[in-house]
Amino acid sequence: MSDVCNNQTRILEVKDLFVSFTEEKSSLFDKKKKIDVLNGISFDMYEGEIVGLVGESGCGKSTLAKSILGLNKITKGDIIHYSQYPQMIFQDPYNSLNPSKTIEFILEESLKNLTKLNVEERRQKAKKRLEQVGLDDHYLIHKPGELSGGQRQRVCIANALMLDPKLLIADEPVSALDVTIQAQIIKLLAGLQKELGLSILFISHDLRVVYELCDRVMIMKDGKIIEDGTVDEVYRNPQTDYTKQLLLSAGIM
Amino acid sequence: MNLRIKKNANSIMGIVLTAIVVIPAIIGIFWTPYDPETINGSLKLAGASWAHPFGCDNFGRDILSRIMLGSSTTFLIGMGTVIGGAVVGTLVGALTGFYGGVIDEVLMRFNDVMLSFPSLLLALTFVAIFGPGKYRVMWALAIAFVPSFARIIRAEFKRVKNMDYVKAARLSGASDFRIMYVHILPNTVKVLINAVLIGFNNAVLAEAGLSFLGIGVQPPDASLGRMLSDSQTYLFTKPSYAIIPGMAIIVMVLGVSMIGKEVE
Amino acid sequence: MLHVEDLNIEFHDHIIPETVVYDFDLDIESGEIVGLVGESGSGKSMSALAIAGLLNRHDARKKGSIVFEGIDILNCPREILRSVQGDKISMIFQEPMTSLNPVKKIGWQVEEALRIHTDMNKEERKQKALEMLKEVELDDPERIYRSYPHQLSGGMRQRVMIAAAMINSPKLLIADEPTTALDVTVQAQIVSLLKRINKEKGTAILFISHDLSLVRQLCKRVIVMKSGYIVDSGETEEIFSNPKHEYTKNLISSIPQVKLD
Repeated sequence: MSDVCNNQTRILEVKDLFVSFTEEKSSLFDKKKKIDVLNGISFDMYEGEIVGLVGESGCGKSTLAKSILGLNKITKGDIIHYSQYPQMIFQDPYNSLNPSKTIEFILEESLKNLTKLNVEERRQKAKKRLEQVGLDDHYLIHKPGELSGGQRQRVCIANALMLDPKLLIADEPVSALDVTIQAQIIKLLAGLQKELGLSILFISHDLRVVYELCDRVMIMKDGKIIEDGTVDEVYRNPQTDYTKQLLLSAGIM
Repeated sequence: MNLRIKKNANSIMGIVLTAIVVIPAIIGIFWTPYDPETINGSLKLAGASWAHPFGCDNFGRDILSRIMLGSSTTFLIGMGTVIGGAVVGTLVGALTGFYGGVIDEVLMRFNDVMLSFPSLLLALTFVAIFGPGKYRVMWALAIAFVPSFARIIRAEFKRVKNMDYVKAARLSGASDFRIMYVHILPNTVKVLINAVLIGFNNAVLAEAGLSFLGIGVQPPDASLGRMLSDSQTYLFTKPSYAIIPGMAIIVMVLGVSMIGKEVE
Repeated sequence: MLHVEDLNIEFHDHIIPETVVYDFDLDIESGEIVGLVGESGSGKSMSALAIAGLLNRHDARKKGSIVFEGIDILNCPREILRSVQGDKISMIFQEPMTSLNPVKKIGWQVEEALRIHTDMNKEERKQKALEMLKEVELDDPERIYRSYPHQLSGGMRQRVMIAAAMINSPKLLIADEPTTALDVTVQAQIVSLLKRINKEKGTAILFISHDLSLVRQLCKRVIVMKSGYIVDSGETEEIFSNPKHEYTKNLISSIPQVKLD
C-alpha cells in the first residue's frame, strides 16, 4: 500500500482481516443475522510512526482496534504483533477507569499480573508514569471519581504505558473532551511518542487533529481502508470522493 | 465506588427504628430478664407490671424475654437467608453474566422457572421436603432466595463486563477470575447491598409467614412469627400479646427499608 | 427581541447553594445568529435552559431578568410561559438519541407543537409535518413520518428534531450543541441547514457549542463563557483577530490548524 517507512522495523502486520458479528436473536425462532463489520483490511505499521485512522461512526474503526488487541473474535485473516503488550486508550474517560479502585491500584494492576516487580518498584514506576503525563504523585491515592475528564485521560495514558509497550492504540482519545483539554492531550501524546519512540494508531473522526499529530493517515469506509498515505499526500491529493467530502466537511479543502 | 448512607432524616429514622429491634435482639442471644421457656401457671396471661413490662403469655412466660429471643431468631434467620442466597446467587449470577453462552441459557431458564413461583411458596415446598425447624427454615428460604439474587447480579455483570476498564484490565493481563473478583464484583456492591436489604425484609416476612402457618420455627423456640401464631387465640382477651411481636416485625422491616433507600 | 440582563442562576438542591451563572447579559435581535461558547460546566447550557423557561422554578433560583417580546420569562404565570414554549421559542438538544421519544412515531412527535398551539385538524397537521420534514431535507418524508426514532440515523434524528422545533415558525431557536454527537460530514450538513433556515425564515438562533471553529462558520456574534462568567463577547471576526481574555486566546489556539503548503 504505502511506501512510507519502508526501511524501518515493522511493529504490526494486519493481513486480510474479516470480522463479522451475529446479531442477538430477538426471539427463539429468528434466524441469526450476520453483520460484516470489517471486510478485508490489510496494513502494516512501523516503529515510531503515528498513523491516523479516520472514518465515520459505524465504519468499523473501533472494531478494528479491538480486533488488533484481541478483544474480539476475528472471522478470517491474520494479525501479527512484533512487540509485546500493545495497549489501548479508550474514548470515554468516564468508563475506562474502574470507579471502585484507586489510581495506584489501577496503574499497578498490569505490573502485578505480568511482572515480578515488588511493591516499592511498582510504586516508583507508577509515580514515574504519572509524572510523564503531567500529574503529580498525590493523585495515586485518589479514585477516578475525583478527577476531571482531562485528568482521567492522562491517567489512562499513564496506565497504557505501564508495561512499556511499543504500540499504542488510541480510540478517539480526545473526542469526549473540551477543546482546550483536547489540545493538551494531543500535545502530550506527541511528546510521549518522541520521548519513548512509540508507534501510535490514532483513531479519530477529526481530520484536523489527525493533521496535527499523524505522519500517515488511513481513511476507512464500510469496513474497508479506501485510502492510505502520508498526511500531506492524502490531504493535498485525495483519491476518493469520500475523502474529498470528509476534507470539505472539516473545512480543509 | 464509595458506599455510604446519606445523612438525612430518613436514614437516621431508619437506623433508630432498626436499632430499637436489633439491639434487644442481640442482647437476647446472651441474656434475657427471665428464662423465656420457663412456664409459670400463676402468671398466665398476666398484664403489664414492673416485673413483666409486656406481661406474660398463655403459659406464663415473660413476653419481653420471648420478644428478645424471638427477634434474635427472626433476625438470624433473615440474615442467614440473605447471606446464603446472596453468596450462591452472586456466584451463579457472576458466572452466567460473565461467560454467557450455553451455561447462561440453561441456568437462566431454570432460574426463570424458579422465579415464577413466589418465594414463600417455594420455601413452603422446601420446608415440606426438609421438615420444619429453625435452621431448616433458614436453608429453605436461602434456596428460595437464590434466583432473585442470581438475576440481579447477572444483569450487573453483563453491564460492567462491557465497560472499557474491564477491557483495560484484560489488556493488563488479568485472568478471568481476577477480572470477575477484583474488577467487576466491587462495582456491583451497591446493587448487591440494596438487594440484600430488600431480601432481608422479605426473609423476615417469609419466616413470620411460615411460622404463623405452623411450619416454621417449632415450639419451644421463640420467633416473632411463632409468637404471632400462638397469640391468635387470645387476640381479644390479651391483644398486646399479638400487637407487640407484630410491631417488632413492622419496625424492623420499616427501619431496614428506610436505610436501604438511602444507601448510595 | 430577547433581552437578558444580570441573570444569576443558583442551585438549591444541595446544602450549600451553588451559583452556576453570574451576571449574564445577552441581546438577540430577530433574525440574528449568536454563538455561545464555553467548556462543559461553564454555565452555557444553564443560561439557555433559563431563557427557554425550562429550569425548574424550585431547584434553581434566578435573579435578573429575561424578557422575550415583552414577556418576563422568569416571573410570568405558567400558562403564558407554556404558550410561548414550542411556539415562539423552541429548543434542540445535543443527543438526538434521547431527545426523541422512542415509543412514538416521528410524525406524532413533529406534530406535537401543532397539537398544543393550533387548532388544526389531523389532516392539516399531517400536511404541515410532511412539509416540515421536506424542509429539513429528509428524503421520503412519508416513510420518515411513519418511522420510529430507532429506525433513523443520528443525523436524520437531528433533522427531525429541527423539523419539530421549527414547525410553528418560532422567533427564536435555541440549539444546544446540536452537532457534537454527529459525524463531521453530518455536522457540516446540519450547520448549513441551520444557516438556510435562518436566512429563509428569519428565525433567530442561539447556537451553543464548545467548538469555536463551528461558531465562526455560523455566527456573526459570539459570547464566550467560563466558570459561569461571560469573559468575552462581540463580533466573531473581531474576537478571532483580537481576543481580549486569556481563555478566549487559549480556545482559539486550541483549534487544530491545517496548513497545506
